[in-house]
Amino acid sequence: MKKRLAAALAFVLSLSLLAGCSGEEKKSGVSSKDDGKTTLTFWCHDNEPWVKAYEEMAEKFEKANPDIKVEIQDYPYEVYNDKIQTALTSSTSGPDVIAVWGGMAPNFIKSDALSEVPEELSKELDEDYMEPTVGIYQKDGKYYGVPMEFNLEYGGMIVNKKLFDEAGISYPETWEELRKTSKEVSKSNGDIVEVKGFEMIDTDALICNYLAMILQQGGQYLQEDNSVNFATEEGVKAMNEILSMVKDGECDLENLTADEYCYNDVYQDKGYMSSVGSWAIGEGTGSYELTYGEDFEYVKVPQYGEDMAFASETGWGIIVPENGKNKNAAWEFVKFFSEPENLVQHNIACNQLPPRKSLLDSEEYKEAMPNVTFLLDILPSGQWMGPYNTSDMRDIFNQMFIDLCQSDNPDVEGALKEASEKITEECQIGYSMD
Amino acid sequence: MKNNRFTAAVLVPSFLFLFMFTAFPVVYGLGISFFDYNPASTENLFLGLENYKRLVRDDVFWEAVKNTVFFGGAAVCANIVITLFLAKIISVLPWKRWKTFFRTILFIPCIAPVVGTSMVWKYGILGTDGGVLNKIAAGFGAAPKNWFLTTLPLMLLIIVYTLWADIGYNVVLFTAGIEGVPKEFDEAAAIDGAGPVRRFLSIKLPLMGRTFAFVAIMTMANYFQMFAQFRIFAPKGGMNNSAMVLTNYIYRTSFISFDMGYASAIAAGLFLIVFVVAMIQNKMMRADWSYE
Amino acid sequence: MKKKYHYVIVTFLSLFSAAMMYPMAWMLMISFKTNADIRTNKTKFFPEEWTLEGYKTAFAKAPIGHWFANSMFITICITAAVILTSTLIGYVFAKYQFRAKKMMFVLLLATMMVPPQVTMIPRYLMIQKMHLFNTKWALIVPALVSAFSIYLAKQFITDVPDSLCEAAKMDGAGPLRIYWSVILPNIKPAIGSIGIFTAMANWNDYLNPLLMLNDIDKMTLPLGLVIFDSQRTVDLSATMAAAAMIMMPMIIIFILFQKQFIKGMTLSGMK
Repeated sequence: MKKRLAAALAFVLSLSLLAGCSGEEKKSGVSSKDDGKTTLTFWCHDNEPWVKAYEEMAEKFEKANPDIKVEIQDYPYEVYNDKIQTALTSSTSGPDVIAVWGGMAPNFIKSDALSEVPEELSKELDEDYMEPTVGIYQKDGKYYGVPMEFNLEYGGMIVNKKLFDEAGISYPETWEELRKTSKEVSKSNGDIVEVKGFEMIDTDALICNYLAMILQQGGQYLQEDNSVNFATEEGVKAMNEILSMVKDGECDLENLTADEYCYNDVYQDKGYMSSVGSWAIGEGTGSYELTYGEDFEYVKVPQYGEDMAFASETGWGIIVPENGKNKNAAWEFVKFFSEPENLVQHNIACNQLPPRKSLLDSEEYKEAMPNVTFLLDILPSGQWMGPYNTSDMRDIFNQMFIDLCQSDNPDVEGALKEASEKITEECQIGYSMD
Repeated sequence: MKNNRFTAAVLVPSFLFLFMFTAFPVVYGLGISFFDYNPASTENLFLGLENYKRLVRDDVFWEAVKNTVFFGGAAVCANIVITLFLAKIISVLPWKRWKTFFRTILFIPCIAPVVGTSMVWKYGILGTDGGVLNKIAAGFGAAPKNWFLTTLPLMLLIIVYTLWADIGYNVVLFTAGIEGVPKEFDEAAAIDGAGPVRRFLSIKLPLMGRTFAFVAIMTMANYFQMFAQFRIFAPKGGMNNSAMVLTNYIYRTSFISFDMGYASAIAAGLFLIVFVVAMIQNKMMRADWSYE
Repeated sequence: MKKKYHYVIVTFLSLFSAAMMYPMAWMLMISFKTNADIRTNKTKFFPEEWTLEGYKTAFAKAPIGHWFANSMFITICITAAVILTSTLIGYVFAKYQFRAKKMMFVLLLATMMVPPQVTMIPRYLMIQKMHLFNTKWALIVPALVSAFSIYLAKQFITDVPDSLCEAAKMDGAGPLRIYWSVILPNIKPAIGSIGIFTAMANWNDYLNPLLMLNDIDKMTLPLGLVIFDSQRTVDLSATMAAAAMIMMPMIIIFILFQKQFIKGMTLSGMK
């Protein structure tokens, strides 16, 4: 018995040593010069179609700039932000260009590790980019990042065409119809709604829809001094509306607690409608292998108030670390990336909305993305969510919402007031932006 | 024996090494805790005691302290009671095969990584839709529950999970401890008319004191560090931070919010707590570490 | 001496064991189901139709081979190193007289009191400064010396009769010679025990790899599994297949060698 153990161990040991040696260090292009070429390292997270789009962009750039090479490296999102932080910390051999999620950007901007956006490009940001897309990238009146998309979590919803057809009903056109349909089709059991009607209660969508509902009534949650106040007449009304969706059993809190997106339910035939950004179309045709137009569609969410309005947080953008060896070449690349004719192709490939005003009536975009053109019309009505750490803001807001749902006679105004104060105090960006 | 050159050649490098990765980091961390520390910045703002003032006022920190102590205390007590009981009933079995079989089965969860089994529990046991708990509830006619919306029940479920994942160790140790006590003592007490429970508590338990102290201290030290299951069951700390423990809070503050200065202050707080607990434990257990 | 209550105990323990094994069995069953099957037949335990789809996806989408090799390499390096350092240091404490010995031993035990969470931020920063970040060595180097294992080794080595050491010394053996040919052969069970403890702790570790590793190919099994799960939230079948592949080899090794395992574990508790 002992001999067998020893033999097995020895075998495993030699095997793993072999694997350990051979699998070691695929050398990445850390050296900036080989055969006289400058190599730029570009970091992104491992979303397949996006990585492919970055690679295409790199290829185009290399053709235009034969002396520069761009290497794309992707990492799992779980460790991605940590990875960026580490790269900014180290004094040597990091990436030259980094794709970053707007919600995470303040963490990097607050250090002095980022390179300032060059003047020419920063003028474009002022003139041609919509306000919500550049908001978070500012510090002391200067820009430290360049947006690549307009992030919109409000305005469209994935609908399960099959379920609608089977039930013999059409997509709701007004808010009242939406609630009525939602109530009729949903089926609940205890804490769980087995078939959901209209869903917007997940980590991302809840607050975005709520803010839009306030703004569409002509209200405002962002005060003059940038503090937040939800406890207004419009804020209470909107919150009561959302709470009634849960109380009526149209949707449940599971996506909030499991930190998953509502659209998964619709794709799994467990829900009829789910509010989400247009990027989720790609998940349906990709991960779920469904057919657009047959299994599901992406349509407009009926407006809640009189006038179109919504708030949006800054989406994905590009930053350049100060410690990079080829900063000039890096900014060259970012500039190339941001050229309208290049950017639009990137937005199409990634299922994103364009951040530039000049792309709002791009025929190329409309032709390639017929299903989301209705969103282009509402983009100019968006305001920036505000100088806040949005992920912390969501945590506080969502917790308040869950508490309200679980309480038998909720004090909506009190809860909104408390959450507003907490968000203002704890989540406001600590440095001056302008 | 005496050989100062050899002694020094072994001990000096090993102690240097050991201190480099334990004592030095403690001091280093203490240093960071006085700054608004971000390793990516070239300059970091000195805050003095600001982080500690914030710590004292921080509700989440106190909630995490409470949860860590509650988890540690409840899980360790439950663990010891259950494992002693299981070890005892296994050890009275006259069949060797069955003994080995049960010990092996109970030990299997200990072999698997905690993150893996936590995930299995998260989906398979606690899962809202199709989890065993809700199936059992349905059997009693109760409506399904979203366990991740609960506060105390979720914490208790994490404790149950931890026990499931971990009792194997202590069952093995205690079985060996019980079998190490000579039979004569037990038989003598039996003749004196002591019942089996009484005999177990007053004869066997004291005689296996060493095993008991070892198990209690190791389990305690281990449970105060638990992290993986909390990352899986309640990555953000659960409802109103009801399942937030210190390790996760430190991790979140330093590696998700990148607020390393404040996270270091929390770590210092944790160090203080562990120190106090260890002192109390030492007094209570009179741990038999031999110091010669 | 078989009595009635023995049967009661066996019945109870059998039921208890079945309950203990349920989560593992559930994992295996899910891993052989299709996702559609999981969604529609929630109450069924066995798969409607057995499939290897989950395993195929897991293999295709996750570099499990890399993770396995990394975990193996790291665990084996640490275990070998810890066995060496702890027996050597334990030997010095058990068999040699020197000044301030008692104080040094107390110091050694004191380092055990420092919880790893307290030092995790500084360790992360140190590993970065040492340029070990995102390499295997970031996990191996800090784990080379373990106070707990030294303590354990010392307890065992104290029991090796002094006369054996003295005799070897008379024969002209130096301290390393005594260590190699007198001490080590006499504490084989202890070595097994230290080895099992160290190997299991490092094989299953999640926190340190989470802090120190970034590249998906460099990850260890537990960390890789979590990343895989986060990437495929709706593909339960593949997630459970990956979990099964990660757990099963170790469980099988354990069942094959459970006697040695249990003996090793037991020894640590007796000291």
